Amino acid sequence: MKTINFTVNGRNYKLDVKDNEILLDVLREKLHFTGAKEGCGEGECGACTVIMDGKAVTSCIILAVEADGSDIETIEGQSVGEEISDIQEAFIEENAIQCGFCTPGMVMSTKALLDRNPDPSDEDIDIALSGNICRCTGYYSIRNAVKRAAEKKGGSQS
Amino acid sequence: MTEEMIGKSVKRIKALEKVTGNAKFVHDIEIQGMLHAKMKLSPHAHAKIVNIDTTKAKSLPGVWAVLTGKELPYKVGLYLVDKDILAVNKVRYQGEPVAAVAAETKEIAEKAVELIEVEYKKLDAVLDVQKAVEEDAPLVHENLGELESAPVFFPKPGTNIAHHTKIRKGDTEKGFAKADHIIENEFTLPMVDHTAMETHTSIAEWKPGRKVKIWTSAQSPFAVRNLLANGLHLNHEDIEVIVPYVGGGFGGKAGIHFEPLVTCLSRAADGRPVKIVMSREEEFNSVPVRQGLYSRLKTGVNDDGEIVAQETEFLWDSGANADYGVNVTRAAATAGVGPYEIKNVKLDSKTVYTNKIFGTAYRGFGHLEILWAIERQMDLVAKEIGISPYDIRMKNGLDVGSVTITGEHIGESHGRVKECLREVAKEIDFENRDSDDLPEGKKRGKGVATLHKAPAMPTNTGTAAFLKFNENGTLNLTVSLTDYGQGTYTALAQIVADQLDMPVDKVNVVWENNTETEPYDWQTVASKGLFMSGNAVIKASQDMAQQLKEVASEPLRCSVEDLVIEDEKVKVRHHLDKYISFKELAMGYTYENGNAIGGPLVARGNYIAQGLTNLDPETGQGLPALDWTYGAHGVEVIVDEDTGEFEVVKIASAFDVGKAINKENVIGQIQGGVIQGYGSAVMEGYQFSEDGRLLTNTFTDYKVPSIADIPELKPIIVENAQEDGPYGARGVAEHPMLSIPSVIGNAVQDAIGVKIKEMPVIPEKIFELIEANK
Amino acid sequence: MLNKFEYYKPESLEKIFDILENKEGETALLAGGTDLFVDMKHKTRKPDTIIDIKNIEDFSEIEERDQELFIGAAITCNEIIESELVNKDYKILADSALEVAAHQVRNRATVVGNLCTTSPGADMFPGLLVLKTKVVIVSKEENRQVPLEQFATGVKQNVLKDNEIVKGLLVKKHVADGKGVYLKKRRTKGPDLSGVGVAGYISEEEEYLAFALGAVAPTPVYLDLSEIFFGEGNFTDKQEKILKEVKENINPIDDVRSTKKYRIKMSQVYTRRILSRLWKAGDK
Ligand code: FES
Ligand code: FES
Repeated sequence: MKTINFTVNGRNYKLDVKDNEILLDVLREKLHFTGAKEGCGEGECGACTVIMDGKAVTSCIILAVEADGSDIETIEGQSVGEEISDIQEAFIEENAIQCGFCTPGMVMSTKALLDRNPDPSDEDIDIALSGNICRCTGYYSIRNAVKRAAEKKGGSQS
Repeated sequence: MTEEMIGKSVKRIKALEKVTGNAKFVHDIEIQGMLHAKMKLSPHAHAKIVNIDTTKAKSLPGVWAVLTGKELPYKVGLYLVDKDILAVNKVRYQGEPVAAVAAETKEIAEKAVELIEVEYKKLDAVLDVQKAVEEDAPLVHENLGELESAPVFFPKPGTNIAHHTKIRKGDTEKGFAKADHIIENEFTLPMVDHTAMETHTSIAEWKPGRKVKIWTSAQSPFAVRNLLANGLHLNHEDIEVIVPYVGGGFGGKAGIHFEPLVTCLSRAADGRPVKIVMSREEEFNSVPVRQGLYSRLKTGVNDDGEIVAQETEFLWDSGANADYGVNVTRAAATAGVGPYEIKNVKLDSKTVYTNKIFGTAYRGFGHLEILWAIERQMDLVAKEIGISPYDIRMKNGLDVGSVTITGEHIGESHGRVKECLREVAKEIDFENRDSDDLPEGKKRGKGVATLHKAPAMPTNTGTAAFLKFNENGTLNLTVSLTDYGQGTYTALAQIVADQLDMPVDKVNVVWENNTETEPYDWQTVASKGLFMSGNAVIKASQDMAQQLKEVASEPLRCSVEDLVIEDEKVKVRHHLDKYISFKELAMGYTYENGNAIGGPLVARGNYIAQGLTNLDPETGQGLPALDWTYGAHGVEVIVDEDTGEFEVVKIASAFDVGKAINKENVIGQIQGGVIQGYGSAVMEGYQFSEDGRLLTNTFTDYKVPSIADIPELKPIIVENAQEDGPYGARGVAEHPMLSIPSVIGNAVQDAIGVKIKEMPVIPEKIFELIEANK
Repeated sequence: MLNKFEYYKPESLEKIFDILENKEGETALLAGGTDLFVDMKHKTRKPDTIIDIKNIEDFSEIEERDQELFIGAAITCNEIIESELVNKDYKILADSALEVAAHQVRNRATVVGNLCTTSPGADMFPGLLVLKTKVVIVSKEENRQVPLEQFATGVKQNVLKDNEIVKGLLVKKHVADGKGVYLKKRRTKGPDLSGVGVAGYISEEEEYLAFALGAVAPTPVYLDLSEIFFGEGNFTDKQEKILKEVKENINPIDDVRSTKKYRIKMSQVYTRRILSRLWKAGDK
């Protein structure tokens, strides 16, 4: 057991975790942030993507103890009350959601991308999102959603 | 209302819940007191179970139940009841569950599974369909003759053949005798995984009185209920099946999967709820797949391109169970020469057992597989006789007046395959395949391919819909067809909105499916959802309209015939300013003096497949198809002549959808389907070791397309209305992925002449062919 | 599920050495964990102790020291991709790092970790090999530097002893005209392990030409071809000789990612392509 301190979506947590607990499991099962999903458990699908200290990471292959002192953002922190983020709005508008299982991970990868690069090219989008598998949409609408979100944020003048 | 509702791109229902992470999948559900299940899997492809020792596992603190096949004398299955819940006496594939544990935590469950000791005696395994049909092949199911099956399937005792569909039309001997050319080829493709992003997950809670409540990631709540009732000898009314959000299905969550196991575990654990979640590795190893296929096609063709005879053999690699596979074999056979009219046909389609993970439904239901052979053969034939792949398809394609291989007459209300073909050929500029602009060693190729598919389902498949008013005049629509991403619910809401002339956001489609409260639906498969539920929803809406008018006719003092529905109101036809709003009628109409009439309004509609017949077992003649959706793809590739590396530059895909009720969602289906087909075409496929171990059991080894892989795609919607479809619509959920492998194979052949016959189409194989041609 | 283990995150190298010395059973070092935890989930590794090295200060450094680039053991692949230093004079490393897994994973996966897992196809090997890299290995008893081409000893095996730990890498700085290319065969344009990975590097001023290949032998293959290339003869002959060298020094297998035959083919093709990108045939 170790005691860890971290913030999730701006809220402070102090928590006892076992050494071998995975961050994704702690987020989902202890803190009930079930938005992040487990699609593979091995860093290969991106469904568990959260943002840790500003960077998109696959939380299924990170120990909870490694998150000590970090600042974590999950899909649950992307909307405030009835207000959803530009990225979320863009995903809806572009019909980039089918079953929705990959969606939280996609949105978090998109957020990390736009935070560091407000006007991404197709190639930038491919690099940032190719670790997020979607089996439903064929990705076309997702790419459009990322671009639309960038426009909403004022990144692209086109 | 001024706005046109049908054909509009209404925003998808539940998008907000999904995009905020609020949508709860079974993965996310916890029930108080819930235990966690874990399975012990067979390491062998075929072995006798000599002994299972569970004593250590049982004595581990925190373990509530340990089960083996011995305690579960049940068989489960949809069409051919051949599945054990846990292996009994022997294992038939690597990855087959032999024992299972329910424990307080996942750790304890995992530990307990490690403590179970199983002693095996290895048996000879059969991994190849052609070997499996040989006389002395090891038998996968020795007791095939004793298994129960639906009356339209014919297992052959003493063999590995679980079913054989025969189709006979005309006289192939005469046809071949007259043909100018006879061309024969063999084609193969491997098993493929659905890889829905949510793995299979189920929770069961056993209750006193032999009742059970189930939460499951399934496509078809009523199929789960029915098969569970039959398999475990329970009463239907004692089973409650709940399906919340489902993270993709693609056929992989049709039928029944781990629900019987968790039910038995919960029963053994004194009614504690038990949850099972497949790890991705288990999903690859132990959850059914799309079957592999070996095809042999012999085509008799005249100089002018007319195909006069076709002899076809399909051997389906069904793996260790064929409960669903038999129907894939049957359904695909009915479409077995593609969307062409051929006068003389002899077709044999056999479901063959092997010692591998077993087959089930997968988007396209056998059609991607047969179209790999049919549409590749078409190009090989065209090349041999020296005519254009486009012309040979136009020459033989189905037209109004054509007769299909099962004897169905193509009429005015059918879709038009040739129109789809024309559209895609135009879009990719098919005749122009100049390579001059390319660097040395690169060649441009173009290909076309057609496709067709009808829903595969029992002749008496039915569905129903309920509508009820809310106090504020909005409606709740309930169907047990599930929406696990297709967007069907959005289209159904549009239909209600159109029928009752109200805004679509006032139609609330009840999301969570529950067999207790919802009307029956057979299964959410086969692209029949919109067609059948759409028709049921139209009927329910009409029923509601009628009831609204009946109540309103009294206070409005006119006959029902004189009333119209407009703008959420019942109006007097000739005095449109005289009306009563839905809201005033919803819970019963109240007069000023307090008198009330009517009552809360509830309506229903149902639909059953019309006029379908079982096929004649010897000739395959009959009517198997509710509606055929036709389509075509055109593809441009650039191939490296030396290495076989290739790039798919563009795909154009056209489908005759009859009527697009929600354009945006139709395009979403096309994009998703094409890319899934693209995965099958160029990267996916199970690979086994020589002793039958699955080698591709992670996303590291089994690749699916990523966002970086997608080629330019042009979706084309063709609309020739289907007379009996809702607003003329046909299903199009599966079709986009059909013929994608063939069209890419065709384009590669066009570019550099290699005759590729094995899927997936990968540079390694193209290179082998280049070398062989040298 | 991960097996039970004890987790330490020491702040000094000495502490790490202490733990390494005193702990029974298997000890694993953790940087990104992107290989370790996957192996543990597959039960192919079951360490009793895990030592997180991310708190050791100079492990997170990336800086030029004399004529060498130091890459600390905790430097991630994405840090390499984003590093100005790397992009200026060691571009091939950024290109190679971009081939490692997916973006999210690269935010954790370290360059040194990629080497320490020592998979035959590890993407960081070829680029680092052609640049000439030394592995800085430390232990309580001694510090040593091992040339990277001697680091791997077999599939997932290397020269590291139980009490040793890699502190970082020293990559040789070549003169400004040097350039390198890394080409990789993959099944998808998304993340994939290497089917064949070939790196080539040339510095005309130094008269240095080297190739390195991954996923075509149990350990990555390094070939210093300077003598052939800068010796007598015309370009075509030299190219043939180089291709022959490559062919003779690899020994690929069939697996789910590719076939032996195709690996041989593509290692030739990539070598030729790289050569033509590094050297315009008419130049000399
Ligand atoms: S669940 Fe973490 S990457 Fe798949
Ligand atoms: S929407 Fe289903 S996996 Fe992406």
